[in-house]
Amino acid sequence: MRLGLFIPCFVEHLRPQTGLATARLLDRMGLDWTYPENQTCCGQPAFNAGHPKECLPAARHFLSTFRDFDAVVAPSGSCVAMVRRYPKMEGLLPGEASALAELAPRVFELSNFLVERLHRVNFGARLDARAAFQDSCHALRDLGLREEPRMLLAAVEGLDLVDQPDLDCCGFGGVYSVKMPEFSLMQADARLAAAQDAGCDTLIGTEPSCLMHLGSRAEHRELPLRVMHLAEVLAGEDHEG
Amino acid sequence: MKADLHLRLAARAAADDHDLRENLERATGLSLEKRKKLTEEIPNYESQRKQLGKIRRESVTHLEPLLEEAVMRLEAAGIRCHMAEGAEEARQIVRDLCSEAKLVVKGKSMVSEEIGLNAALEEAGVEVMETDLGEFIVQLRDEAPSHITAPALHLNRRQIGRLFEKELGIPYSEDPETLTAAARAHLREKFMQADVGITGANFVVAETGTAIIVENEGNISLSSTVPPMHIMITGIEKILPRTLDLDLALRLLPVNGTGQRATSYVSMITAPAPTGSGPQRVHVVFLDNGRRKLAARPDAIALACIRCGACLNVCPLFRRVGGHGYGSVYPGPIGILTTPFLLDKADGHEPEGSMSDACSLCEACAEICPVVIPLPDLIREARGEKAAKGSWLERRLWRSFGRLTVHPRLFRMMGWLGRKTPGAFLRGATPAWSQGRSLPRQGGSSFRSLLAERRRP
Repeated sequence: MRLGLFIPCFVEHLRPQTGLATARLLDRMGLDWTYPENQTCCGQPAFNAGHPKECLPAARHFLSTFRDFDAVVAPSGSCVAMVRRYPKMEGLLPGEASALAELAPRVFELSNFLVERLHRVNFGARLDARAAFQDSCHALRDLGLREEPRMLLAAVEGLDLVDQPDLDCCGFGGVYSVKMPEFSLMQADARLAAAQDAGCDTLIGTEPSCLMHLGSRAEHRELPLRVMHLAEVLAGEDHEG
Repeated sequence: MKADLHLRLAARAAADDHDLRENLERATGLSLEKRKKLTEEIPNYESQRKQLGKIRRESVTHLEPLLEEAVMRLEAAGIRCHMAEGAEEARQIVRDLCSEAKLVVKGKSMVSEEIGLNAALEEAGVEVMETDLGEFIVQLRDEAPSHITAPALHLNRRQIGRLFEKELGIPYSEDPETLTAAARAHLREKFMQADVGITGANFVVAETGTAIIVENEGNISLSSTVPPMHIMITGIEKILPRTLDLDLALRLLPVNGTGQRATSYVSMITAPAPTGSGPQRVHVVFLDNGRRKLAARPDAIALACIRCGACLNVCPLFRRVGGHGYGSVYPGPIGILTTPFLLDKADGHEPEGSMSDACSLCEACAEICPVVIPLPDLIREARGEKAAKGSWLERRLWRSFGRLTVHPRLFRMMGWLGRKTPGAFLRGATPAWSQGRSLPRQGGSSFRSLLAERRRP
């Protein structure tokens, strides 16, 4: 299997530890994977801001970067959900639309890839923490990934997991976080409070953009709450230096 | 005021209003909980939902012939139908019908809120009494409803107790039954004295010309049977093709609206009362007020809405400020879509600017909508329309962003610049992010450089 690693652009620059954890996890499974250096952005910011046309170049670029892989994995449900939308976008040439329709189902969010493609839930991870698991909207609703992250976390040793389903959106929402800052922060605080009220010292999620927002809020408020991506939990500490 | 600014100010006010936050959370949460339990109990709920969605799509795409059929049958049975193109026309029709009236009793009707009917009647010297408990409460407070099915969900029983103590002169109580009994006693007289009953209609069946009204309090049954005249005012989109369609519509509306398996009462009105008691004169006012304009657009499917209010209950933004925060009659995700069409002609409701930014695209509404309206997709498209009319600079910036995504080296360089820009400068450049949040990590390495380091032998 030719496996490609797709790292969201903001993870590349702002949260590289999530990308590295994903890489370590793939290595540990002995997978032969490639990180195509030419990858950029899935284009979602433009698409969601109401400029779908400006997202077309990103879709075409994604196609040319990843079309030769048998599978592509990304530690973000939101970016994968965007890729899965590509084939239906207006303005694609017929050939592009069909090529994207072939590629899109081969692009997986990390937890989905591990459970559905590798049929594996136990990665020998250990985390001594009381941690809340909170869903992210696009992984949950666009991709329907409710069980996958929970199955993976259930196999983590030492983890006292508090499942927190059915919470309101964390309030990130891309442009929403700057256009509706009051709501964005209130929503973040509700999520952080849910974790803290349950006596958790850690909050785990699958979507790095939500986690960046929640982590920045927790840091600003100096809360004793660590915000972790699922990949970071599964990959554990980096013992290889 | 622009809708998004209105919302942001409401959010700031709500942050300090403990009662409001608690009331909204409790009321919407309870409704969602009851709904969820029911949807899990109902076999094939998902397929029922899809089926109702199909029926409502059919209603919207065949609006004109269905409406024509409904009007023909209603008229044949002796119910007078009126077509109102705009809000003022609708108000005039109702004012004319009520020209002899001194007292009107009203059942809950969002369309009457849409056209500002109460104020128009009061101006004409007619006393208007809301008879739905929630509407009665907001009328006493001189407020608009805060939710399309639960008008007073922003209030708790202590606030209602104090309101009744002040306005109805009863001893303070926070017991719901005592309060309901007080409202009932106050209203009973009014039903007997009223000259006209005005209600909405949840559905109008084209096949038979039957108007359907659902409720839980019995006030609509009274408003539609006691006074000598009954006026229903409803949007032209409330048509259902067949009687059989009511099977699903009457099941899914209460499940999603109030978390009930069925409403306590369903009125089906097919003709005026033949003789004796009951209204001898029955009228239906069908309101366009922008609906036809919306029906001709690609997002016409928003008209499939059956006004259950579930998308409000599940919307993180609505749950924090309630309907008043939007400053428009129709709040929540569905309000974002319909308000610009339904209210631009009504006096005093001019929406200045689209509300499409008031959404994080979390898709909770799409998941819950009983008629499967793709609300987030439509909101995203509304953003596009707004952007197309918006600033040239913004469009230019997004175009540049799009072009950047095909130039990996340039794209990386922008990221590098962002990482290396001093935090103090970035905070100034992104105040909306930086007030209340730390900046994400500055000055570090990128993923690809860390990966290369890791792989170096």
